[in-house]
Amino acid sequence: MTDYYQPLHNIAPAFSGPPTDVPLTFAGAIPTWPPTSYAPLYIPVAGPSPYNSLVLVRTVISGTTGSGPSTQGMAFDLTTNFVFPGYDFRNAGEIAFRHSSIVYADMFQATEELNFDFDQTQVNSGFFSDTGNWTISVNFFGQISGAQNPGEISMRWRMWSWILCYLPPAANLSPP
Amino acid sequence: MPTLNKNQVTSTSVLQVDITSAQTMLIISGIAIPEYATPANDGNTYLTPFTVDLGVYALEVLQSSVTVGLCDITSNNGAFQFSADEATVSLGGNGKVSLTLNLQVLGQSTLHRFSYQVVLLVKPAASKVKGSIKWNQDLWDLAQTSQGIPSSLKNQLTIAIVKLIPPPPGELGGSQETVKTGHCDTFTHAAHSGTCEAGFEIDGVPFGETLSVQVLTGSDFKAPSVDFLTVVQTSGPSSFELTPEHSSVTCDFLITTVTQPK
Repeated sequence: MTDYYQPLHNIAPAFSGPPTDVPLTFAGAIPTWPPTSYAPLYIPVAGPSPYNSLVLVRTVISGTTGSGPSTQGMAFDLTTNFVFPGYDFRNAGEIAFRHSSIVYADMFQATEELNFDFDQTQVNSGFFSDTGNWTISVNFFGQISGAQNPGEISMRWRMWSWILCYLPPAANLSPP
Repeated sequence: MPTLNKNQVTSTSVLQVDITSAQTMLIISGIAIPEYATPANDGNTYLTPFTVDLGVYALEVLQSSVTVGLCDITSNNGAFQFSADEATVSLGGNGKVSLTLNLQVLGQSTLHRFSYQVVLLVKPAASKVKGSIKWNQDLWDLAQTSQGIPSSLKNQLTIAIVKLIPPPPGELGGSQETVKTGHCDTFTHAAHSGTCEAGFEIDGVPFGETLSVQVLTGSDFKAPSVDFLTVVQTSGPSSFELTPEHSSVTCDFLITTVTQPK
């Protein structure tokens, strides 16, 4: 996918709408386009034991939300295209890995003057999903209010994750 | 310049990756909490530098790459601007690595948090705590072996490096947390003096923490019936903080007995 700025009218309007006194609810997921993932970068390393590889995973994710008076809070998962070679969810606990990850905003756009609180508060955890995809769990809070007309804001986040792990020598490391 | 310490960051993680014997890659991620607000909503952009103590140490920074980004911002009805940029990494005189960046805010706005990820290639700083433990053979008569150290030594002597955590302001006490443990790797038995001596060296002790060394004895050490065992530190500091410049400390101990009061 192309990773560039998208004008507002191209954004899926899933959560845009008029100001409301009813808190918006996000059914367990933040409104997003499908994430844009870059090909993972695999780097052989000398250690520490038992690790032999450092994998850099990058993802871009975007979303739109409408205005509302209440603070919205949720935890959501950013799933990436790094699939652990030979992953079997029944043996997920046997995979030794460590990671260092960040999520940050690199685009913010509002349709009009708004009061807003845009808050990605913390990176909770990193794990491999049932399909073996590297996933980061993030806490997010947001509040938008003060619009005279139906308003919305759109946001884009970037995620950088470095994963120290052991990859079998014969692993197929081609990106999907 | 405001400096954000380890209590003003969250979601922190550090990866230490071995590249060669002389080079280590450090990947440090976190969310800093500067809570930087504009002093006035007067149409001016306010800029201030911030420093983040990354909590890692090195002898030399060979290469570095930094990513910073906005995390938590608030603004009320009006023009706004937020930026976190011009990020650089520096090595302090004590070997401590810091991140410095500029924050800019315009309008009735607050930049609460920003994310950072620092990738470093460093010449790592090695730390060491070493010393000896002596005791009279009456307490545990351990015979010297011709090959290596006696296998039972590992079970009977544990060296714990503990972090001393001061109490909250206005309270007494404090607590401690074991950050590293090790065992003795040398042993001698001087039959003429009846003295046993074991030596230890523990690598990879954390920098920048207030630490002390504790020696824990096993059940093979026996005190006479009216006495109880105690471990006394005979040399070295009772507490210390390692830095790359002062990366090694020696602490010696004596296992002895104290007569129980009647």
